[in-house]
Amino acid sequence: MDEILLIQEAQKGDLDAFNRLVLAYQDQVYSQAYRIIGESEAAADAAQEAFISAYNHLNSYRGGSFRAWLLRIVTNSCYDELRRRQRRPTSPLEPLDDAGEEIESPGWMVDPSDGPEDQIERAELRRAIQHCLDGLAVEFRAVVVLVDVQGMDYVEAAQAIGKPLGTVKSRLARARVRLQDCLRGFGELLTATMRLSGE
Amino acid sequence: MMKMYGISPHDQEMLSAYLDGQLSSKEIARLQKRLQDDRKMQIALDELRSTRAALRSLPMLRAPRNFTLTPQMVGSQTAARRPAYPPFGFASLVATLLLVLVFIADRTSFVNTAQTAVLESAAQSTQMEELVETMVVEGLATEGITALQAEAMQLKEAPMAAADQGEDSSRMAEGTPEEGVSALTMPYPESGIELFAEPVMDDTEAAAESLTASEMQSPAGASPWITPTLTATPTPTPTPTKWLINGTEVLGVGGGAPDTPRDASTPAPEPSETPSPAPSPTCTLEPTPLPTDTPVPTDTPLPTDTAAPVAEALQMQLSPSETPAPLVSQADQVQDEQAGQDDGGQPPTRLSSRTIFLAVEIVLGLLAVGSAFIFVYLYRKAG
Repeated sequence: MDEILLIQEAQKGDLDAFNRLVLAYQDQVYSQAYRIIGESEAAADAAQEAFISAYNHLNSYRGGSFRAWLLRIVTNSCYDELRRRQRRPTSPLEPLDDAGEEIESPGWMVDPSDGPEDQIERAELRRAIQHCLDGLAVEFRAVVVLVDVQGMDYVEAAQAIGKPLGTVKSRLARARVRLQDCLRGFGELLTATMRLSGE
Repeated sequence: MMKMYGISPHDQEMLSAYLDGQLSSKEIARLQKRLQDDRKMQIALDELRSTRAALRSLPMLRAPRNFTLTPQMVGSQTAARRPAYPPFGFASLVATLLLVLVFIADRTSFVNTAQTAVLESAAQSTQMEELVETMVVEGLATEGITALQAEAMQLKEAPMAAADQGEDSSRMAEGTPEEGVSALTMPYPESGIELFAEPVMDDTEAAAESLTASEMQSPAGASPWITPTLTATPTPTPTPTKWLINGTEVLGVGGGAPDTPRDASTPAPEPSETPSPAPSPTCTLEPTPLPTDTPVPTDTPLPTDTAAPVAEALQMQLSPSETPAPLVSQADQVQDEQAGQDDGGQPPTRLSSRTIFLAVEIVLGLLAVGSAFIFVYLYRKAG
């Protein structure tokens, strides 16, 4: 797939060419939205809005990393969604027990459908990380997801959030330290994950 | 950022960038030397590496569905995201253009109205002159055919000249003695009203004084030059009268009182038997019936072309139940219009159209300004 050619065709109004780009990047866009918002339905809506907005503003693309350009759009969509949620608070992500208290134990994240033990541990680790990500400030969250989840370098991440390189560097370090503090409560889980991943 | 294991935030950033390979060779060499010497730095690096590995272990999620776009989706979303300010800008522009057009139309209508008013005023003046002329002729009819035969030619020329020159009847009353027989010298034999006139008065004062009696009977605010036509009560039977001016008898025609001569050299219309004394400031006119043997000048024949309309006017005038009513009614109508215009009033249709114009201009102005404000607000809000 020639990405540049597809972008040029899409800029001329070729919707099929743009849909090819959508199929190529929709997982990354959805992952970015999900890691920032932490909810699948809202993440899907944010991803859909991001693609529509990208198509409508395709002429504003001036070259560079198309992925970074797309992830910047979906990140802004997630910001808008989170701002809307702040104005209209919804039920917390954490489940409540019978007494109405939030369940702090990560055991609630276990999916009963998981079979093998390692899959359970990996699943619990993912949920723990997402739980800690949700506790981060949104600007830190976006950077750490771009670099550590999406695998971007600092330059591309800076392009995605529209901030200088030093800002990316600083925010990423602070986000990692806070996530480290959060994941320390899942010590055994994190150690097992390290062992399973071979590190 | 809080310190982890006694590590400063700057060192945390260096360690994070070190893991990502974002440090220069000098920075890497300097950091590696510190890591060998500082155990806390080594522990912090291990913790950060574990966290980073955990984050990078997160798999790329698969999209729950395809996010491909359809033409309907793009069109509807485009319409939904279309900025709202262009309609307001268009509305403001249209309202401004309409305001300009209405303003021009208003001014044009105003000029046309003013011209129409001038033309109507001129037409009314002409109508009044014709009315005065008619009244003069009718007044003459009351003086009798005999008197008309005596002064037919002069009476024919005097009112016409006065009407042509646009003079009012007050000037006609102050003209030559022959002209003075006209409107202002309408007789009041039965009422016995005494008319006082200053012999040295100027034209306007003389007219005003001579009209005093008739104004008492006319509506308030009536124009002086209309009044004689309103109050003149024609005598059904013309009777020659004799006027006593400062004790001097003056022969009048048909009861009409001759006006005091403006100039002492101007001869009286009828020679008096007794020489007039020195002019006094006030003269008293007392109409007295002439004896039947008073000679009536009949040496001047009445032209045939003048006699016919005068006879018709006389016939109409001899029926008192018909003639005065339309005359007063017509005069009142003209007088009301004149009073209405003197008060600065406009006819109702002109006033209402002017009000409508003003209302439309105000509404359009408010619409233009309001739309412009909304346009600017939405434009700035949309960025």
